[in-house]
Amino acid sequence: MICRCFGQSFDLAAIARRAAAAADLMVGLPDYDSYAAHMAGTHPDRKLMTREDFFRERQATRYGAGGIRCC
Amino acid sequence: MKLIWALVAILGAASLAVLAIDRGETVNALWLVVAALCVYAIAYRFYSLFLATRVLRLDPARRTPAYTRNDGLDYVPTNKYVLFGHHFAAIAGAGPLVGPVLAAQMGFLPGTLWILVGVVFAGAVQDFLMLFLSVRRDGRSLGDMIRTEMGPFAGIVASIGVLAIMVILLAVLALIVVKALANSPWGSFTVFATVPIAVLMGCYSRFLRPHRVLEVSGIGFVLLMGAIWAGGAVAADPVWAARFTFSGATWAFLLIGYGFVASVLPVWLILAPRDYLSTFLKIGTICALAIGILIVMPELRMPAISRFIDGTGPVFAGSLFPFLFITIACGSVSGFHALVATGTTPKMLENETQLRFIGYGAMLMESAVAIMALIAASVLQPGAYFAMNAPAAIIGTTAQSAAAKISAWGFAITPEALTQIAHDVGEATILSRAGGAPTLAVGMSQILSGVIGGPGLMAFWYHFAILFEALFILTTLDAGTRVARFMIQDLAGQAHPAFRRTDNWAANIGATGLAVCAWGYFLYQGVVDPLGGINTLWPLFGISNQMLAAIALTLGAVVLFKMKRQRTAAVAVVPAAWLAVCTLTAGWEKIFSPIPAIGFLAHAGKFSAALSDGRILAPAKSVADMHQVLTNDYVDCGLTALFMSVVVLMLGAGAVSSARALAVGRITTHESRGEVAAQ
Repeated sequence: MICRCFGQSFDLAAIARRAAAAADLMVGLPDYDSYAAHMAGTHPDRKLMTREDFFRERQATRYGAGGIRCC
Repeated sequence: MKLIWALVAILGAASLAVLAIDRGETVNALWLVVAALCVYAIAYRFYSLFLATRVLRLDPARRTPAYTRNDGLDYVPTNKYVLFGHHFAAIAGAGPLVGPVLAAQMGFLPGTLWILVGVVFAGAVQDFLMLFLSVRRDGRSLGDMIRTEMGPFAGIVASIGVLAIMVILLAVLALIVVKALANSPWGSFTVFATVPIAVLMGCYSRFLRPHRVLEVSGIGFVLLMGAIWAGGAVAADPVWAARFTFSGATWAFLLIGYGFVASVLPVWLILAPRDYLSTFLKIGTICALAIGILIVMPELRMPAISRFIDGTGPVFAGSLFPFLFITIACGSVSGFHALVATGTTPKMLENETQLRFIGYGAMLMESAVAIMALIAASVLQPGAYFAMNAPAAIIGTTAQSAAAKISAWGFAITPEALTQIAHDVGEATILSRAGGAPTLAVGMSQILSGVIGGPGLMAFWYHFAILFEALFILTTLDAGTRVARFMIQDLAGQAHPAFRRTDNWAANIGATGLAVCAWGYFLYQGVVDPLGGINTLWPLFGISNQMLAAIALTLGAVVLFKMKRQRTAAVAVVPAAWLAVCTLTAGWEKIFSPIPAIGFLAHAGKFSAALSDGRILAPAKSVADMHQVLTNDYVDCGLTALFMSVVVLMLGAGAVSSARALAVGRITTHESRGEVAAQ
């Protein structure tokens, strides 16, 4: 979906996707598609985590040893 | 273009002049907003550009760790706006909302000036520098970098300092929750309700629909709003209200128990889902508050400068210098950011040149949050502000005694007005609820109810604000206890390797127990303190936080010396020196001041003199209590001395490292190779 204003066109679907990715990353969940693309490009021999496993792995890492957030 | 910047400068200066010149009438909060935005714009456009191009010389051709070590998990090149959101969500917490509220007792002007000057020359510089250092070193942590750049001794000193700051941070945050929830059935009910809501969300995203963070957060949000509504019904019912009314001491033990249990449970059950809620609620509330201020355009009823700059203020004791500069840490300069900025963000940066936007820019945004908190505290009637923030030992426990005492200070208020505010927000009393959260909540409810709902929704907005703060403080308690546990296991592991094994249940439980006891001790001490505890604990927290900032800036200066850029090192040396002066002076006064309200030794002296005369002083009720007060004083004294020694040792180590770097003719810093990208 494309919206035109101020003489420019905006891809609303792309903006919504980016906003959702930003919200996910705020709570420590990176983009699964980037991960899958990276694995396919660099380590095609290794096993790819499913979306669900990826979610659980990231969650465990965020609150593991590091995970310092501010006061 | 130059003309536009000249206009921004003139507008900013004019707004500050409007704020500063006392015309005997109230000033609109919009002037404060405009002054702050002009300062941020100029600082970002000019000073951060100077830092980026002349001091750090960011290199757009240099590959960042997100590329050189890309693993699709921790190291991922990430869009700069997305990363800005991640970084901002990680640095902004309860801190910028509390310090400015406490500092408002001196009037809104001193706090405003320190927030603005501090963020431009110290806070944002620190965050920017720390990100830069970490990006150039494969995303390594602050402790790691101190070890490699300043030596193993400095590394151990810094890690002890960080553990101590964690303990004080957790205690003071827990105390804020206690102050807000003691004797408040509405608040207590909603906070209890967050536990089953979080568990429900946790199970949903564990078993039903993993990876749907926004979906589960939406469900949680709806349930949370329902809990606030139900809390009102609970508070209105005498039987249920009594069941959810807890004293401060009971809440302290509940939190200590919670901290222990929650931090050994699996993270997906409570911690992660509540983290989602608190993060999104935090961002949403900040936006709502900003919009509310712009729409309502409230008048600042607090004077620009109050009589309490002389150090006799009821909220915290001590004069403007040094205590204002440690009371407002987050929002101006916060050492804790040095830990955050050397964590996940540097591993996701696409290009070095984006550091300016993410490092410097996100900190300016946090500073804007602090300015909003200051506005929310200053729109209250000053009499109501002092009633909420002065301890019971000074203003008594009834609306009559409080109104009489506060009016005598020159801030006229009637007992009826105090009871009316409590009634409006659905509480039995608002007296002596120091700690920032309730004051901010009343201010926010006045602003937000001006946008949606009018006076009828004030109680809802008040409890929304309380819940929002309680929620992310509980998340920090849970996550922070885990971090403290890992730190203890790491330090103990240097003595015996068995302690380091995180699959060793005995070591885990032991270290968790130790961490909880450490902050629990300070929390309980704060809760029973007749001066309200915030009086003692917030300065300790401020000193430790600014101490960490001084350490981080010292590291930044050392690295600049090692990079042979000593001529520009003043950007780090000057703020580091200023923070060292503030923390050391404040620490010295906390220990040696002859005024018992400020000095721990003078306070202990007063109690031991009473003890030898056979008298019992409040809060103590027995001789054993008297001894406990003395012990607390000496523990606080020791902790302050520890912070001061850490600062002195780190400054010494920094001076030695810098002198060594000066003596050799080549670059001696330990950057990773960071191959230059193929053009």
